[in-house]
This record gives sequence, C-alpha cells and structure tokens, in this order.
Amino acid sequence: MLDRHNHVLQLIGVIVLALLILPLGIVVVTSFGTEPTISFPIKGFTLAWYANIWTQPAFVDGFQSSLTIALLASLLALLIGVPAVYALTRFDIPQKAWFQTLFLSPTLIPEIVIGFALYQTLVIAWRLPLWPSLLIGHLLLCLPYVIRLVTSSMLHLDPHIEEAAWTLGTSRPRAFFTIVLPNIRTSIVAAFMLCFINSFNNIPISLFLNGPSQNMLPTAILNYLQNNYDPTVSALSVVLMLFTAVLMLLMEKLLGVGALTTTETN
Amino acid sequence: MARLTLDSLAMTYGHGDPILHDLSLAVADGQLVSLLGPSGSGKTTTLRIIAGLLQQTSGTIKVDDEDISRVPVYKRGLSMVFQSYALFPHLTVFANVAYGLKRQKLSKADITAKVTAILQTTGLTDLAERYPQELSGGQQQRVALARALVVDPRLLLLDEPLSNLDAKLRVAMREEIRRLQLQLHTTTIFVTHDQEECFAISDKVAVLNQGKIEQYAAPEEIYHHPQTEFVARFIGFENFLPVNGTVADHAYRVGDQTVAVAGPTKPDAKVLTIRPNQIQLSPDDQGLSGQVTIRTYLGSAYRYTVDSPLGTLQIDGPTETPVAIGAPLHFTLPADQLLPLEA
Amino acid sequence: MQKANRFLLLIPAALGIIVFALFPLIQIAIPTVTSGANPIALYTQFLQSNYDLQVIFRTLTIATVTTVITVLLGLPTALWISRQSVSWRQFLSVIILFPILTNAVVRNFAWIIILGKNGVLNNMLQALHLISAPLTLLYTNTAIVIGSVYLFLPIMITTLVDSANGLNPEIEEAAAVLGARPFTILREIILPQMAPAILTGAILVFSGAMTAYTTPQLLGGNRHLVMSTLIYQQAMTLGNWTNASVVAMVLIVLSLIVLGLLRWYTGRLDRRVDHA
Repeated sequence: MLDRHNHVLQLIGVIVLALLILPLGIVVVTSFGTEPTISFPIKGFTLAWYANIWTQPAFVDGFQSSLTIALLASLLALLIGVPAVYALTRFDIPQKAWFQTLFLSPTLIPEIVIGFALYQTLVIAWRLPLWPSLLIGHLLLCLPYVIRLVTSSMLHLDPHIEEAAWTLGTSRPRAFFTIVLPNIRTSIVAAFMLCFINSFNNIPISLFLNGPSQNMLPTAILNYLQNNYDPTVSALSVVLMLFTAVLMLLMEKLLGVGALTTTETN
Repeated sequence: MARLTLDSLAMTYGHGDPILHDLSLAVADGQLVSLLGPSGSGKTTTLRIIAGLLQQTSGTIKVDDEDISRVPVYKRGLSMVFQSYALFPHLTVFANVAYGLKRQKLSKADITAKVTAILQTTGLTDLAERYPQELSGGQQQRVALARALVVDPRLLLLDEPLSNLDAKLRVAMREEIRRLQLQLHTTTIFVTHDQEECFAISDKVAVLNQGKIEQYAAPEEIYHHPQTEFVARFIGFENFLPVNGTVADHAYRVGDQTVAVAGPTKPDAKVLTIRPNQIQLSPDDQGLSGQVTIRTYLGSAYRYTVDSPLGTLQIDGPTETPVAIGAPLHFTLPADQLLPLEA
Repeated sequence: MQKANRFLLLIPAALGIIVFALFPLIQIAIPTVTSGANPIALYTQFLQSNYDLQVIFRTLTIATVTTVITVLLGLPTALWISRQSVSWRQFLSVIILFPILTNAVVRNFAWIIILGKNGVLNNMLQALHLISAPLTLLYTNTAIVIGSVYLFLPIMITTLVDSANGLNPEIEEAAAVLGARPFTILREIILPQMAPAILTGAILVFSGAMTAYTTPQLLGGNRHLVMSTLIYQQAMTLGNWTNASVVAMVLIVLSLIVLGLLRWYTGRLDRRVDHA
C-alpha cells in the first residue's frame, strides 16, 4: 500500500528534502571559510566575513530601508485593504465581482512589469522621488495578500455576531473594532507577516526603483554578486536565514502551532 | 460463496497491548455473520485482517481450504463495503461499479453486461452516469454495495455500512443487504456496534470484547441465553445480582436474601441477571419491596430505579398505574427468567 | 449606513490600484502602439526577430520544464509527507516552508556555489575522477531550470500536501480490495483525485517561473536571457523603453493565455468534484 512505509515514496521524499536543505547548508558552511573566494569544503574557520557585512554601507542601508519599506507597505496594505474587504463582504454592493477582480489584478501583472511601469510613470513622468515610489510598488505587492486572506476569514465569520452586538446597543464602527476585528485577528496577523516577508524579499519591483541614493537589501546583494565572489554574501545569507527563522518562530507564537503550515504562501 | 475459517488470529501494533487474542471463528457457506462489539473490541481490526488491509501478528485465515493468510489484499478476491462508502469521486456510478471487473481484465461487453445487471438489481440504473457527490447517502450506500457484489466475491465484508444513514433508511438498507445476500448466497461478515441491526439480519453473531469472542451463536440464542455478563449487558440486561453461594439446588444467596431459580443451580455462578421487563410487579404487596428513586417514561412503560434489599434494580412497570418517586414498589423475580452467569 | 459611505471604504484600495497599477500599465502600453508605423508594427517586428523569438521560446520552455519537474518530484514527496504522523507532518512542513520564506537571492546564490566552475559539484566530480576538466554548469538553461525548480518546488509540495491530506484512505483501500496494485492505485485513484491541486500548483509554478527575474539573472547570465531579464536589459542597459514595454506586454498576454488555459481546464475538473 502507499502508506508511510512505502519505500519508493520514502526514498523520493527523503532525497527531495535533502535537496531542499543541503544547498542552504552549503551556504552556511562557506560563510566560515578563510579563503578569499567562496570554497567548499572550507580550509579554516573565521567569523571575519560576518564582521565584513557591517563595513558595506549598501548592506547596512539596504537592510534599514528594506525593513522600513516592508513594515510601512504591510501596514498601509492592511489600512486600505481591511476596510475594502469589510465593505465587500458585509454590504450588498452591486459591482462586487468587479471590485474583487480589480483588487486581485496586481497578481496578474508580472512583478518585473509592475516595477518597470512604476519607474516609467512615477519616477520618469511624475518625477516622484524613489522612496515613495518604492513604497507604492511594495504596497501593490502586499494588497492582494490582505484582500485574499482577510476575505476568506470574513466569509467564515458569522455575520450574526455583529448583528447581536448592534442589538445590544453598539454602534457599527464600535462593533467592528470590538467584535469583528478580534475574530479576524489571525488572518490579519498572517496577512501582515506574508506581506512583510514578501516585501522584504522582493527583487523585481525594487530593481527599477532603487538607485545609488536608495538601496534595498536584496538588490544590493544582487549588485554585490555582479562584482564579488567572497564569503561576505554567504555570511549575509546566514543572517537572512536566521531572520527568516525568527519570523517563522514569531508567526508560530502569534498564530499558534500549525498556522505556519496552513497559511497560503503564494 | 465459500466457507471462512479464522484460526487463532492475534494482532499487536508495535509494542502496545494486543488488539486481538487468539481469535477463532468458522463461517459456513452462504451465511451472514455479524461481529458485534463496542468500539475498540477488535471487530473492525478482524475485518481488515480478513480483507488483507492489515497483517495479523499470528494465526491463519482460510477461505474454503485455501490459506490466504499472507496473500496481498489485491489478490484475495474479496469485496468490502466501507463505513465512508469510499466511492471513487472522479468516476461515475457506472465506472465505480465496473472498477473491480476491469481489474479482473474482463472484456468490455462482459463488464457492461454485469454492471448493467447489478445496477438493475440494486435499483441504480437511472443514476449510472452520475458522480458520487451528486447522490444521497442511501444512493451512495447502494453504489458501494453494487460495486462490492458485482465482482461475485468469495466473501463480502461490511464495515459498519449503515452508521452514516438516518434511522429510517438504516432499516430499509439493512433489509436490502439481507435480501441481496440471500439472493446471491454470498458469505458475508458484517461489523456493527448496533445489536438490533445485527440481530435483524444475521444467521449468527459473534460478540467481541477486548479482542476476544465472548459468544458465537444464533441471535435468538444470544438474546435469551447470554453466556457472560459482558454479552448480557451489551444486549440489554440491566440487573446483575452478585451471587454469594447456592442454597440447596434451587436457589442462590444474594446479599442476605435467597433468590429461587428454575432448574438446578450452578456452583460456579457469579451473578444472576434479568431484564427490567422480566421482573413482575406484585399488585397485592407480596414479594420483595423497594423504594422508587427515579422514574423514566419510555412510552410503552415506566422504568423505575428501585432501592431494594437485593441492591439497586431497574424494573419496568405498566403506564396505567404509575408509582410515584419515593413510594414503595413490590415485585417478584420469576424463577424461570433469572439467568445465572458464570463469567 | 449611508450608501455613499460604503463606497468610501472601497475607494482608497480601488483608487490605489487604478492609479498606481492600471494607469502606469496603460502608460507604458501607449508608446508600443503609437511609435510604430502602425499600431502592431512594433509587435510584428518583435515577433519576427529570431533573437526575440528565441527568448520567448526559452522562457516558455524553462517554465514548462520547471513545472513538470516540480510535479514529478512534488507529488511523491507530498504523498509521503501526508502519510506521516501529525507531529512529523508539521515538522516536515516547516522544513518545506523555510526555503519559501528565505530570500530568492540567497537560494539562487546557493546554486552559484554548487554549479560554478570551481563549484561544489565540479570539485566533487573531479575528486571522484568522473570528469577531468570542470563542466560548464552555471550560466546555462539547465542552471536556470535547476534554480527555478529549487525556488518553486516547496510551493508545489505545500499545495499538493494540502490536497493529499484530504484524501480518504478508505478509497484507496477499496481499490486495493477490488484488485488494484499500489502503482495502479496511484495512477487510477490518487492522481485523478489530486488533479485539481496539481493544476493549482502548476499555475503557481508556471506563472512564477515564467516571470521570475532573480533566477535567470543569477544563474543564466547575459547570454541566456528570458523575457523578464530582457525587459530589464532593454530598459536599463540599452535605454530602449518602448522595446521593453513591448516585451512587457507580450509577457503579460502570454502569461494570461497560459493561466486562462490552466484555469479553464481546472474548471472542467471541478465540475465532477464540486457538484455536492
């Protein structure tokens, strides 16, 4: 039978998992190498490359602006996304389907095209500075996650609990904040985390909208790799992996066991 | 159409407690035998071992004279109806029923003929092109049955097939199963925890408890003469009087009372048992007396919980003359209805 | 609540998308039809260029091969994961999720280390005396496929595990009792039930692999351009913004066509499953 003891399934499963983990493991090992270029296996052990990260202004500035943009874009996406979802799921709006398509339409446009179009329109035509343009680009990236996750949780929430609050003398806005919001908390946290991670890791949109004055961390690494092949990037990769691990732990703490594995990730 | 013989089946998962101990059972050709027991008694495990879905730790399974103990499930030539029906959701009713015949590499014409015939027999002809999701529970049940029967199995295994149906449909379907089973003369093992259901359609019933068969007999025999306290409790005996000893050859000692029985006493008897409706109320204040503590209306009768010198008893009384809670109740234990049990 | 107020809640999001996504898209689309001799001149020119056709072909091939490999590797892995105990399943799912949440640059960088001239793989093969000179592995189409599979396999697995967890094991047992061997069960019982999830996964992987930028940039180099790297090259290296827009429009149309086809097929499959 094709149960957990099936040898063929087990063999493929173990190989695939190994293939997923090993490359990242190799990166970790190379970050400690003493050779000036990346080598594996390593000949000596050093932490010098970790120190070297902080000597690269592109990385330090990039980390700061990536963090800021990701936080702001996620928050803004929630601020304009949640009211829209509430209106769509609780009011009888005749153009509902039209709005839903509109809200999810950014996912149909390749990110590289969004980046290019924003560069052409905001930066070239409207002469907007890079920073707000980046924020707008990342906001477009985030909004569909909010719409999708929060809509599905609003649809699962019994509309009667809100009506019960009204009959008990609560105003509509107050009922939203005291009754609805606490019940869709999980999806809001999940949407925030997904927005944050995807914005923080994004390359195609940032690619067109960064410049010497405005670095983003992933594009800074990309640029660095064009000219260098030393273990600084390995060390930075390890730092980013630790960052990912911390985020995953945070998600598990905030959303509970199992939330990690059920959250839609794309 | 075959005999089934289970010999000393034992089953243990990992290092846990055994699920089955030394279970043996013989089923005659064309009989419908039920495995009756509460959950965890090992009845479904037994059925899955017969099917080959589980491998027993030890013991043998024979169909007629062929030992199938180590034959893989797909070569056993049996059929099974699952609790969830397990219909293939991506296939139509027709294709579901045809699946086993396809595996037997029958010709297309043969398959069509056989499937058409069984759909006719089970009243599914009009639903042939539907998908399982488009059917009601009862219809899905019929498809599962048709799919199992069409391959003309040596043995039909039914795993609580009625538990997902509502009460009315359950009665209709169990009669349908019995009708088809008799018509096709298919040796059948029926797993259930519902004693009424299994008494209604079985030739013989095996009552299972903790991986052992407590009693294997015809339903009538089990109903009237349970052999152990477990069987008696499972089939509706409510009163169990602990026996301290015998008084001559016609009575037992229960507490400080003497209870007379018909026939010779058994020296090894541990309890006396009797159903609530077999205890007689005495209108003339004769016999034993107790006090009513709880009264429950059952529709056809009142059931009284009575504190008596024999202990707490469940006694049924007529609805015409209710006895109030707290009032005394006089009753006698008919000697010919009391059943001494040795285990 | 007033009718106008309902729309107030929708306006920020709707306006944001119209002004910052749809309008810029139209902005870059306009020159592609106005700067040629006729509205489709630039497009016919693009589609007649051998070089550009090669890029389109490479883009579609890489996305297709990536999708097929992720299905072939993802399906058995997902089945294996879904058949573990709950705690094991959660542990394995976390292992699968970790790469998804890790930066794509990091994940592609790992393959630069492995596939490079003096990379892990070449060193290993040479140490084992299987090859005498290093192979050219990096900056090839194969490298892009490997990187894309690595990038998207976890997403395929996650999608398929969700579906495999929902399978009723009794259905497979029913097939076994009726005479189906394990491989027959996989082909005739499990695969058809998982088909909608396989298509969902295929949509995610194909559209992702088709439009990805980082992987072809890092593992394909300048000589193996795909449409996304071509857009960047045309716009930022060559400064030919109109050409970049033409490629962008073709990329959007192609991805919409493929998505449309896959969704249409998924819809046909859903017919038999969702009729309840």
